[in-house]
Amino acid sequence: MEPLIRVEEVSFAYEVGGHSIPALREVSLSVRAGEYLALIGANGSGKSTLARHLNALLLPDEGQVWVKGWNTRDPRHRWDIRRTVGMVFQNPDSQLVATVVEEEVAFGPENLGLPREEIRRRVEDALATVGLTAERERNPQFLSAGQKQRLALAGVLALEPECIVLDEATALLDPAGRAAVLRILDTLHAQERTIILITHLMDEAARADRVVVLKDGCMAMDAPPRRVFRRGGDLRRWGLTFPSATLLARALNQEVEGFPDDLLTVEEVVEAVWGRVRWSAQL
Amino acid sequence: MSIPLIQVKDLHHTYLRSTPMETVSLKGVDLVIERGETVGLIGPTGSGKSTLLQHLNGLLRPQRGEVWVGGQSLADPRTDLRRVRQRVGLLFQNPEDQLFERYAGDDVAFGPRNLGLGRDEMRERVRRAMEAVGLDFMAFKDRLTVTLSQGERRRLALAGVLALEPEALVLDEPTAGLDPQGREELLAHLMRWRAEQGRTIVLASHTMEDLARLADRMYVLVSGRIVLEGETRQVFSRGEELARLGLGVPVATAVMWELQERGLPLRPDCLTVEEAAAEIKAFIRPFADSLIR
Repeated sequence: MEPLIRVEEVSFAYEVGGHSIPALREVSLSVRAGEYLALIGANGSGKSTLARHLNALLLPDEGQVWVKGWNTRDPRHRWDIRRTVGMVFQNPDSQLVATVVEEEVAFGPENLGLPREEIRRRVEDALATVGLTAERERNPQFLSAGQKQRLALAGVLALEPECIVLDEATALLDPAGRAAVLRILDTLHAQERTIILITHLMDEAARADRVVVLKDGCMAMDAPPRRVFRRGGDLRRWGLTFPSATLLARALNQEVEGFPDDLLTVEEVVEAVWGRVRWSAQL
Repeated sequence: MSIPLIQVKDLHHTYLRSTPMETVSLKGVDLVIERGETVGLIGPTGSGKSTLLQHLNGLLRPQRGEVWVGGQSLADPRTDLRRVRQRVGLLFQNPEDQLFERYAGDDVAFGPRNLGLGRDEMRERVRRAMEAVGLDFMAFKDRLTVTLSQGERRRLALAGVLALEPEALVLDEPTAGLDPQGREELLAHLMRWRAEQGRTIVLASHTMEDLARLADRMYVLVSGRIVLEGETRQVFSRGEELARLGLGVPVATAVMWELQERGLPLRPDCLTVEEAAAEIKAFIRPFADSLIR
C-alpha cells in the first residue's frame, strides 16, 4: 500500500547572507497512515526543516516528497496536501487570529467553503476533542498557555487532517498542559490519525511507536523507541539522553542483577519492580 | 542573625491597573532567600512566576508590599537599583533572543562596560564569565553570535549576566527549549558556578527533574499566592497535591509513589534515580531466581 507520506532522498539548504547552510542531506522516510512517530535530534539537526517539507511549506532542493501520492512540488495539490497534513507550532500566540474561541476553530473550515452544518459539526468535534467546549465563547487572549495550545490544535483538527505534525508544541507548557496535549494525541492515535511529534523531551518520544533520529541533517536511526533508547553511546553522540524512566531502570540494573535496562515509562518500571517484589525483605 | 539576601513581604502586583484589561498577578507573596541557597519556584503557566522573579532584582518596583535585597528596600527611592541589579543577575526566558551585539565577546562585555571598568579588568571579567559557561574565550570572543547554536547562545546570555559578578542568579526557565545535551551542559555550569561559597540561585522551571537535582528548597506559586513551600524533598513528597495543582513530580518520585500505593513500604521522598534505585533494590528478588529472563 502507498504510504501516507513518502520522503525520497531530500536535501535542502538555507541561504543566509550569501552562504548556503545545509539542513537536510538525502533524507528518506516513509510514514504509513495511523503511525505515531517521534522526530528527535539536537538543535539544528533538521527536524523542523523536515517537518516543513511534509506539508509543502518548504520544497526540497533535491529529491521528492509525496503526500497521498501528490508531489509537494505540484502547485495544483498544495491545498490538498495542507488539508492532509496539519501543523501545530511551539508558540500558539503566533497562530491564533480570532477574538472568540469558536471562531478561531471555524476559521479553517470556513476557508474550505464547507456548508454551515458541516462547519458547526467540525467545530464542536474539535473543541470536544481538546476539552475546550466550555470556553467556546471566550476570548483566546484570556486563555492559559496550555488552553491556547489546545486551541491551536483544535484549529488544525477542524480541517480534519489525516496527519498532525507537532513542532515542539509542548515545549512551553507546564506539566499539566503537556500531559493534556499528550492525552489528546493518544486519543487521536486510537482513532488511527497519523501523528508526528517533534520534541526535545525524551519522555515524550518514548510514548511513540516509532522514533526517527536526525543528526546534522542526516537520518541517524529509525526504530521503535525501545531500540533507540538502548543505544547509550549513540544517544550522546546525537546530542540526546535517555528518558527519565530508562535512567531509573538502568540505575536499578546496576543494583539488581538482570533488571531490564530498556524500560521506557513509569508504568513499565513499576510493573518490572512489582513482578519481582520480595515481601520478606523488610516486613 | 544576619539579614537574608532577598526578602519579599506581602508583595502584590497588578498589570494594567485601572484599565478594563487589569490583571492581578501577585496577591500577597512572602519569600525569603538566604545566601548560598538554591531555591526552586514552580507553578502552572500564568501563576505569576516571571512577575515575581522580575521583582527580585528591581526590574519591577513593588506596587504594594516590600522587597529587600541585602537589607535595602526596593521601594525606597534612595536605593540604587543599578547596584541591586549587579548583585542579583536575572536571566529571562529565551534570553538568546535578546543578544544584540555582532560578536559574542562584545555581548558579554556590554554589562561590565557600563560599570566603568578599565580595559584589562573588563577583558578579564568577560574571559572568566565565558569560561564559567564553557565558552572558550579565545575561540568564541570573535564569533558572530548568529552562528552559535541555540545552546551556545543561551550560555552566552548567561555569561553576560555572570560578567557583572552577581552574588545571586535569578533564572526564568533556563533550560526550556534546549535540546537534551544543551540542558545537561547548562545545568552542569550552573552547579559549578554555585559551588563557590555564598553563591545563590533562584530558579523557576517546569522541569521537575532539574529542580530535584538543583534546588535545596522550593516555593509553589499558584494564582499569585505561595501555596506550598519547604525542602525540595518534602514538597515533592506531596505528589497528590502537586498533581491537583497541575504540577508534576520527578519520574523517580512517581515510581516510588506508585509502588507505595500498592503497599510497598518505601521511603516516600526519593528525588533522584540513584536514590530511588538504592531504596527499591532491597525489595527485589535477584533476577537469576526468576523463570522469565
